[in-house]
Amino acid sequence: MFVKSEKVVFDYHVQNELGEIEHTHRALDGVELNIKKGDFVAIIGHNGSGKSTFAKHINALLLPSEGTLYVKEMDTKDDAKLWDIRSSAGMVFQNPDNQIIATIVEEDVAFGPENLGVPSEKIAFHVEKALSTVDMSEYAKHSPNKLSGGQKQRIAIAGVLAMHPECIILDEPTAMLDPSGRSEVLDTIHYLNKEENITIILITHYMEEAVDADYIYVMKDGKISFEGTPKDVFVQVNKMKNVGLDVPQIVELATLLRNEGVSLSKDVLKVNEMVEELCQLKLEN
Amino acid sequence: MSIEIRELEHIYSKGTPYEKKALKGINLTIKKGEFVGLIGHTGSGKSTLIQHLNALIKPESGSVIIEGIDVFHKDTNRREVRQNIGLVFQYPEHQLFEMTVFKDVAFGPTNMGLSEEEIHSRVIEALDKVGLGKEIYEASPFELSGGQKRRVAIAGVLAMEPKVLILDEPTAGLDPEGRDEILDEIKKLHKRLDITIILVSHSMEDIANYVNNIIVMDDGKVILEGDKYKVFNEVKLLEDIGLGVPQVTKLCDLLEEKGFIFDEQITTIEEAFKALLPQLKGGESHA
Repeated sequence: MFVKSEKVVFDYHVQNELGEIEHTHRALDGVELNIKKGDFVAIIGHNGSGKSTFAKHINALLLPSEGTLYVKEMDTKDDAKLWDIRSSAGMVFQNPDNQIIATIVEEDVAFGPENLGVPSEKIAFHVEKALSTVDMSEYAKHSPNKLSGGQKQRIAIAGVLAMHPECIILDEPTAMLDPSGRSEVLDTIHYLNKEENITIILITHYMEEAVDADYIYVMKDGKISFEGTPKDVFVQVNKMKNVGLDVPQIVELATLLRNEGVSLSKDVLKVNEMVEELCQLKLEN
Repeated sequence: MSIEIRELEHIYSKGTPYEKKALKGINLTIKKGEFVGLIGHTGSGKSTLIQHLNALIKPESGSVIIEGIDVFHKDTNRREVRQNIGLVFQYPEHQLFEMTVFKDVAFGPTNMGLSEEEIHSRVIEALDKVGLGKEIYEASPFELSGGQKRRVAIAGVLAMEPKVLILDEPTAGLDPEGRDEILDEIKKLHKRLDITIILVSHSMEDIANYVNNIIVMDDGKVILEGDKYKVFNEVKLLEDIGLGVPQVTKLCDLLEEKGFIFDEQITTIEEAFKALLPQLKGGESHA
């Protein structure tokens, strides 16, 4: 198991001006999950369900109040393992502008390996490779602030890649992007998963993005509410709406048609699958 | 309020190596009471355009005429223009700053120099319009949920009673429930107050579900405008400029190639359902 979460609980302490704890908010309430190496996992859930809090546990930005989280069998509470954990699991956040710090693209990507103490002659090689993987090599000498949102997120991903993580956690990486920026980022992370065998944990509010994951965890009130393959999860339209989520338009349409007696299979999640099924049905008609 | 935009041009960093023409001869008419969607990829000029509407930035040339008043004329009182055109920025909750929800919403009307009673009634009304009750008046805006914070921020703009409301991606970062809540409230406002609303969004599904007319921008120009059926009929064009169409529109576009028949352009799940069902149940009788 790459990530193993055993009854992880996390309490946020809200402090007053004097630094005294005013009240405590339980953001994670016994999260149980296992993520295998090489998996593409989506975590979905309403705002405040605990998704981001959980994500920050995977690279030990936060430590469990109770329970244990293991990354590659290392307990995240073990101080001695901190750097091993952080170099195994890299994070990409929602707002690209908050995570780009250098004035030149290649310097930004080099920031991580430099901090890990990679010898400088090797850094150039890592940076070049990372930029070419996200298809941004031609921008190596550019200033990041002139790039589009999708390009900035790819730079942020390259910055993580240059540290050779086995896993990348992306916390709503497309929330601020336009449709083409969104597909740029998604294509990139699917490529990393398939071609480089990097474990991907994608946190998202876009159900269309979760459709292509291997497995989905649905969070509610700090717990895993239900889980399964995209087909198992999205077929439960009512359950999804009850936890404040949605299903892709195609799934909703398929459900409406099915309720009227149209015999569509439960496997329809995407536009092309729907086209195939409907054409088949029309022929039989 | 009607909005007339004539030959509007804007250039950023003029005379420097970074000079960029952001708006290139924009001509648009937005009628009073319209609910318009404004779409285009990042950098297409949407934000630059809407910032001209309440005179936050000045054009290189051209004019914006709101209800007969030329916004950029030297004698125009731009303060008045800004009170009429309410602009809700992206992530408006980042602009909340007061100790209580009530005080935050009161900030705009207080600056307008209104009387104490007028401010009070406007705040209550504005919060009511976005579906927030008195139990949160005294709460700190920072302890609310994401969707609630955003509604407080929108109420802050509504309290100035604008005649035109412009929202720049009001649902970015919200979960599906929060997204529906905000958009439903906006739709209700449009009906109740009969104001002009301009919605900027990257979600073609949201645009299809809520607006009547759409303006499409690309590279500083308006390349397409009209009712949503006409605009979403241009599947290829919208895909070429990096926008795309709602999933169901794409579905029906592909099905049409395979011999399915659609009398009208499909933009929503409901429309797709109604058009597809008879074609799938063909000969069967609907008992």
